[in-house]
Amino acid sequence: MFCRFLVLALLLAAPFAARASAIADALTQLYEAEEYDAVVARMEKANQRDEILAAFDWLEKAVAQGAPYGLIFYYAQLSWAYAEGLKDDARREMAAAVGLYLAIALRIDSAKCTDQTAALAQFDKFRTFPIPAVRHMCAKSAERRPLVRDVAQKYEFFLRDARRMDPAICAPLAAPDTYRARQAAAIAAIPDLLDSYLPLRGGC
Amino acid sequence: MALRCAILALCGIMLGSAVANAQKPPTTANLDALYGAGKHREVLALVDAMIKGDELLTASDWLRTKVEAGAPYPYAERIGHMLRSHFPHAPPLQQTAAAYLAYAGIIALRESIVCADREAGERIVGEIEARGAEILAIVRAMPVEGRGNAAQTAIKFEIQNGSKRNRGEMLCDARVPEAYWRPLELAARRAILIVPQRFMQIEFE
Repeated sequence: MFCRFLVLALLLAAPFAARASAIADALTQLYEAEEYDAVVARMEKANQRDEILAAFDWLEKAVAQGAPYGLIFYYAQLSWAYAEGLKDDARREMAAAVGLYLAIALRIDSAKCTDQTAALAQFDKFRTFPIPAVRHMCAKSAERRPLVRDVAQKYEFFLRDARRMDPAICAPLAAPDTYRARQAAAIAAIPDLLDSYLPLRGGC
Repeated sequence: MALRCAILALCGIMLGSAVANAQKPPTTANLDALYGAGKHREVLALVDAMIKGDELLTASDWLRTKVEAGAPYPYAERIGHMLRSHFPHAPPLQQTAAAYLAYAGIIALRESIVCADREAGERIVGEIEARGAEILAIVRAMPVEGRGNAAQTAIKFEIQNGSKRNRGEMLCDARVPEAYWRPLELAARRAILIVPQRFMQIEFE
């Protein structure tokens, strides 16, 4: 529902001046309380144009500052809806980049879990539902793929240590020191992971 | 004979004048003109010569004004090395030197989002770290307060100057279109913490 409102709001195309709205404050409160499902639920309730735009703007900033898996997933979906609504190819590519960033984030963050397989099970669940944006990139010519993969990797690089752990994924390791070695292995595996979604050449 | 002597004398005068001009130290106006023309490598070569000679203070003040106006990363790195070589026994200045190196690293990492070479920023940060190993070793051996001060100073430089730079200057020739780097701008602000943490070996809460 939010997706549909988002597209409608954006298609109205009146200039949007960012403002500290009540919904942004409410979302921040929920976010600080680590109530990530409630963040999504609150966003879904938005039905006024200003609210919708403020909520999307809030989510975009939250993801760019280290929001956890669930919110990246939600943002990837909304970005795709937004791009489709506007028929905007550059935005479609960015939605694909966010989708790939999500896949990398989950793989990296699994290193922080006591039970790594718990996170990887979530990862597998995601793998079975590749977001349309990544599929869209697969159908395009190969020359755009490295650019999209690079954006995903840059997101991951900058946000690696800032990204919040999502308690829904797994119980975090009691001794964070031990995860550095695991994390290094996960980082080394990023190119293979990207290849499994969006190889540099060929079909996917 | 008289004519030959006159010509020789004239040549001598001209040669003497050319030598004198070549030895004349560059003025800040010369540096400003080259900087304005984007001839950074020439500027830095002149500045290096000034630092080694008697023009240390002029070069240092000029470099600082450019760093404060948003100069690319090698300018901040130069100040760090200059402080190290001219004031090796002043621990507070070694902290400042490390702060300038970290600031150079922040610039490189943050601005590198525009580069087609995805690893350009990380690679340049690694190079700055390697060239500044001696300075960083001194600061890393300091108690946490000393390292923290250096890190905070680097962060302060970035807060004050970060918005004044030209994107990706002196970092890379091949760039990605704006549509690919613009969405990363906010995430790239993390460079302000990533580099000082790495250079000063400090963890921010």
